Amino acid sequence: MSAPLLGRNARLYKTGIVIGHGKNISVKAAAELIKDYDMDSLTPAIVAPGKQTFKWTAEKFYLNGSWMTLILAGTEFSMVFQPAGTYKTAPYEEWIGCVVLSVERTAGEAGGIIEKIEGEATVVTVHDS
Amino acid sequence: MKKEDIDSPKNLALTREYAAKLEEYDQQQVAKAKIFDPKTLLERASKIHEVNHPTLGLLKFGELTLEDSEKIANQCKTDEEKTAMALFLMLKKAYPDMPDMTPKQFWKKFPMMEGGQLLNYFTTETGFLSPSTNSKSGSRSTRKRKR
Repeated sequence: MSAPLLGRNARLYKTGIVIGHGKNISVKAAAELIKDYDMDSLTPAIVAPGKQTFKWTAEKFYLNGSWMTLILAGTEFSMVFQPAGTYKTAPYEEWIGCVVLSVERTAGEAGGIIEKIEGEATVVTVHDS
Repeated sequence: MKKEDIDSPKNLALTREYAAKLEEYDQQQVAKAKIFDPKTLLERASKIHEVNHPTLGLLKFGELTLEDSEKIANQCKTDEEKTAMALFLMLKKAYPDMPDMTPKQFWKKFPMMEGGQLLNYFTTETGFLSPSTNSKSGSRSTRKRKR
């Protein structure tokens, strides 16, 4: 099996316990643009990043036990990406306050698997060193 | 979350377990997936199929091929003729002693009771001669353009 890559696979945590595993996850952080002009000026006086959004999508999640129901009902969780398999070796990322906003599931599928999941997080912490 | 919690022995064990479940699921999906194999299709198309039909008894038939579709398209004008020709060709492959007939002759001579059962079987079970269906919203299917 190939080594996991940052932004591909992640562990799902709730209150410090692993509750699931995510596969092929992509993340996107974006911010609104703040731009203002002085009177009669054609060039902006200020450009700055505004309100932030942290979106993520995952190909598949395995969720243990009743966590599937809770997560689909809006329970927050954290995702931790650890390409080296441990937080002790940088880089690793924590996506905190994640919620599921959309999911697709094949009818009759069982066993804690959900597919094509989209959601957002409230905070992202990147540990590069 | 505390850093130590991330890699606690319990969490590492759970991670391995859940990752293995996802891997197992992926492998099941691959096993379930149909694989397109022209060689198998060619072998299947040349075979005579036998089915124990609840009312017709032991039913034999052959599959239509691309060549048959050309015959149907060239020799039949109406949908009824096309259906009759398809039925005739499928039966003829399994029962070569059947006399040669035009679609119209077959349509005219074949008994309705058994013909209806055959049509029903071929359209529902085999996927051949799929009947036109109305849209899911319930509106009628559009009519064919007059030639």
